[in-house]
Amino acid sequence: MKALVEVIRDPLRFGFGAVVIAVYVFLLLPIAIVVLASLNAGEYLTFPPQGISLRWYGSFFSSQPFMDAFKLSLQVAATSMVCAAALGTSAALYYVRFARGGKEALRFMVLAPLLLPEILTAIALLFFYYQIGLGTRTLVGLQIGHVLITLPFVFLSVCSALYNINPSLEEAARSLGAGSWTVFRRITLPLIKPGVITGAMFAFIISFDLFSISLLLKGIGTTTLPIQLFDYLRWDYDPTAAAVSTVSIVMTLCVVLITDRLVGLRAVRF
Amino acid sequence: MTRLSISGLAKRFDKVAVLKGFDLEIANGELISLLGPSGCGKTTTLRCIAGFEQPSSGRIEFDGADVVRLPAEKRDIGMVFQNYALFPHMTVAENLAFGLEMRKVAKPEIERRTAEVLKLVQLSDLGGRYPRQLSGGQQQRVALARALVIEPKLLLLDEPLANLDAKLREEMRFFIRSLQRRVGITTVYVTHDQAEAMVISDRIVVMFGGEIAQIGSAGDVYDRPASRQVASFIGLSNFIDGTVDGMDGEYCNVDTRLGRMRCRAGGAPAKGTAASILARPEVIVLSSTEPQDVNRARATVAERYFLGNMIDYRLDCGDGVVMQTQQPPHKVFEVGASVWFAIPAGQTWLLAR
Repeated sequence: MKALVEVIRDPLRFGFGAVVIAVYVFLLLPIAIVVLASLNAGEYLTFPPQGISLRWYGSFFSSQPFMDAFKLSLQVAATSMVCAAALGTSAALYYVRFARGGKEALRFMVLAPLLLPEILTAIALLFFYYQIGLGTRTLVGLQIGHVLITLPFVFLSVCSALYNINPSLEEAARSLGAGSWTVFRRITLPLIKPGVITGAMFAFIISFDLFSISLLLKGIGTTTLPIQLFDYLRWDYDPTAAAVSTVSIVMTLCVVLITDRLVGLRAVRF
Repeated sequence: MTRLSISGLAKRFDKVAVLKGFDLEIANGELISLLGPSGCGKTTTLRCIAGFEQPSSGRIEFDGADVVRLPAEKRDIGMVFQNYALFPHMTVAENLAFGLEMRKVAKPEIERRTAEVLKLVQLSDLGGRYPRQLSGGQQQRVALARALVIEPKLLLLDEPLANLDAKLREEMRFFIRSLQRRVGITTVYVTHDQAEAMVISDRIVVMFGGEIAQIGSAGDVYDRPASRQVASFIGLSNFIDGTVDGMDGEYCNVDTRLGRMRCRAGGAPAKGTAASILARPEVIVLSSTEPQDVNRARATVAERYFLGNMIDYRLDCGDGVVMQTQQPPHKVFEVGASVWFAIPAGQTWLLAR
């Protein structure tokens, strides 16, 4: 009671607290509504739900297009995660340890997809693919787009991990007789592992959710989950969409929790 | 057991010459320290020997074989870094085993040698600890053990005691010295701490601006410094400027503002040469009555500081000449008192000015 009185007495602090709470409610409420709507027993995507049921989850898991899209999204996200982790780690190693001239240009190039609007990157890639004859018949183009967008996340988190390790550790290992590959495998990699894992998890989540790139670069007949959802919502307005969204949210949360368990989110520093 | 010989070693970073091409011979089992202020090139020299820097020119030979083209991992050296560089994700035992694993030593042999070296550095019980669980002094000894366990040709130490507190630093000097003697390994020790260099080394290499200013024993560099720069870097010094008036046996007569003085000299400087007499603060003798020494003058006590084992005086000798002297604490002179001081000729040293 006393604390409350004090808070109210300090209008600035009270106002700030209120704004923060309002922002959080504004950001999180839609998620809560989607989750609740997915449990709706009624025919339409409405809120509040008319009765509780898991029937729309059943409808999602038994829908061939949704399951195909879901599997494709998982596959693309997993591939993006692996490629971005490998490329991003190499790029960060080069940038922090070896780059001399053109260091800032390299950094800008790697980070550019983060700075440009996603749709611009997507359009540029689309033109480029048709110019070089790669086209969009295969998944290669889409996959490259996803790696391009997710690469900066790995790059940034591995860079910060590298800046935090003492370079004389690597010299010490060399003086003890380790060649450069052994130094990387036995010393550098274990020490930057939290950075690599964090970056890779980010890459997975971002790739799983990516919309514009997927929309423009997807082939005919293949589609990722966000696109499938978008298509679905154009014709149907039943709670399957909410069920799909909820599954996505739960997956993202799981990834965040796994990352936190493995390396602790304290490792995320940009 | 290795003889290290360096010839014409030069290193430039961009346009800046960090090492200006010098020669250095280090005998088998000898402990040499590279002593100098920061930026004098001592660490660069060590890193060239280790293989972390590529010299711009010159040769570095281990027992007559040039190693300049050899990468660090093939040079077979043990190195101790200023920040110890222990692998944080490995236990003490794993840190020690790393170098042996690289040499494909068998498991039981690794365990035997690790245990042996841990005993040598008095850390037998700590094999299972991680570096962060050890004190600074313990980490330092693990770093030494890790460098020694591979039985390298050379031991290189880069300011190994700089991060320890004063008391521990003093203990570790003697520890490293006795360890090096027992193992008998050729060692290069980089430091900017002259007391450390004097205690630990067979010979001291004093470096300034990428060149060797003097090579010699602790006694050589302290009592017979090669230049004024060396003298002022090592220990405390008073310089009395004057002009050489001629030789008298192995002594030299110098006319100074404090009168004519007799001074020990390395060579035979010509009459009229401008020179400085080096008088270390502890060789000066204060008295209230006139002493018998040739080198004597009057002064007024300007400042007095109690150091515990010594009393530090600043003497105003008139004519703008201020001398620093340290006296045993049993005889006290008051500030403002008029005193005599004597500089025994046998403990002076003539330097070019």
